[in-house]
Amino acid sequence: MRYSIVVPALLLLLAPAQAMAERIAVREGVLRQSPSPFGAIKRKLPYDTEVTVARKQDGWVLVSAPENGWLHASAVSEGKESLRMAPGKASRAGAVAEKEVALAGKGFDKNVEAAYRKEHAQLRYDLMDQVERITVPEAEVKKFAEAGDRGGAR
Amino acid sequence: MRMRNAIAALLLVAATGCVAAEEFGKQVGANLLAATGVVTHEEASSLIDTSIKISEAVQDLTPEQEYYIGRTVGATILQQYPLHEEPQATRYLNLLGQTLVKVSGAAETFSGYHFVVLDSPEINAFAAPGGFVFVTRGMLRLCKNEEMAAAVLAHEIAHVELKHGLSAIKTSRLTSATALLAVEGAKSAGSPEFKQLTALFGESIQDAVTTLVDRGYSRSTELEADRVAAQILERSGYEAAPLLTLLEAMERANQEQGGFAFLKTHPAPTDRLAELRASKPDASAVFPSPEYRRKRFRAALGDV
Repeated sequence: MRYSIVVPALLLLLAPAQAMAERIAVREGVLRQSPSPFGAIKRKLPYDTEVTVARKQDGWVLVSAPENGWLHASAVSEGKESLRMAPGKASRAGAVAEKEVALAGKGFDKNVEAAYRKEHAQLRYDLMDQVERITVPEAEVKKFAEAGDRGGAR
Repeated sequence: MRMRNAIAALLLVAATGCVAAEEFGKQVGANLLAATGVVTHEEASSLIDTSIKISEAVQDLTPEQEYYIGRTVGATILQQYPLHEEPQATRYLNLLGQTLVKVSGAAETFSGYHFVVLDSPEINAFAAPGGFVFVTRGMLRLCKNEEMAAAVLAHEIAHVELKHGLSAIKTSRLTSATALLAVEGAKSAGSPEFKQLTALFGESIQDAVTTLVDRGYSRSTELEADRVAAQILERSGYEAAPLLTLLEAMERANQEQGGFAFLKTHPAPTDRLAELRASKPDASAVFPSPEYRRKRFRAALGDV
């Protein structure tokens, strides 16, 4: 069993090392110094930023570009971009036309919401805007979680 | 796509001797996963169970689409339930919620998690896709300490992580939406394709709201959320025990007040208790709540 995995894996290693290009799939991906819930924040990467994945480890992703650091796996696209692109436009060379496809062809997006909202004026999007503004600074979450030396990462 | 992931996973094993459990778990069997030593056999099995249940159509949804679905689901819930706007309670709930989110499998969502209190005496809680979590005052009153409130939030976070809200959407709607996107015109507002896309969006919202609010998840879905909630609670340092206490309190409330709304949409607490006790034989419903937690809980939710 084990043998059958190792052999193809070693063969693959002979091929040129290939770093995977993925994208930030959330509004703000948090790039940290270490793969831990309260790891020091290096910077925040905006939605759709391309990142070069060096490796993955226990739900975290180590990236080498645009800067070295760790992202939580849930912040990265995991190759979903190609699924939302129109067929026949599989390559992503950074061409403007393709970029537009990647950004526009997302399905349920703000344009769809706007159209739906127009037909359903009674829905409380106003309150949802308010709900979305509810945030707590990470430093305070850390304090809350660590009070009495408990919580956070194990 | 599958193949590429499998190759990437193999490369990782060879290069580092370690592999992201979630990625790998979807590709190979539990035995193999456990053999890497990254996760135990039980953890490996649960990862695989989870990935089998989520349809491919749901997995293909990006966090951004999940967010737009969740936002409209939330806007629909807030049409039925008023917000309880009490800054101290809201702040506390968000600090507690974020503490748990940090150790969940879906720590980052498109717009992050937001926890709110609904002004209703009903004992209930909802999680809309993308991390919008609604808890009624009735449910919070049932919680006698921070640990029990953590159990409520962990259960809702588990629904988000497991994409249960999205799974309530009929697969045909999502595959139709994906197919429409291949059509050039689907992007321009006013085109028939765009109108179709908007209609599919509306139907998807209805599917999710009907399940969340009116019909409830299946028994197995709720039990799965309990299991993942127990994991989140353990990783965060709260331990799984308060989940038992919460279910016991719900059972008592049920016997004293008679069938409340929550029970129309959830399996009987006794049923969930039995399942949890079987998987967590060491957990006791009695646990000490440290003084610092009792103090901040009283201050924030003492008279909710």
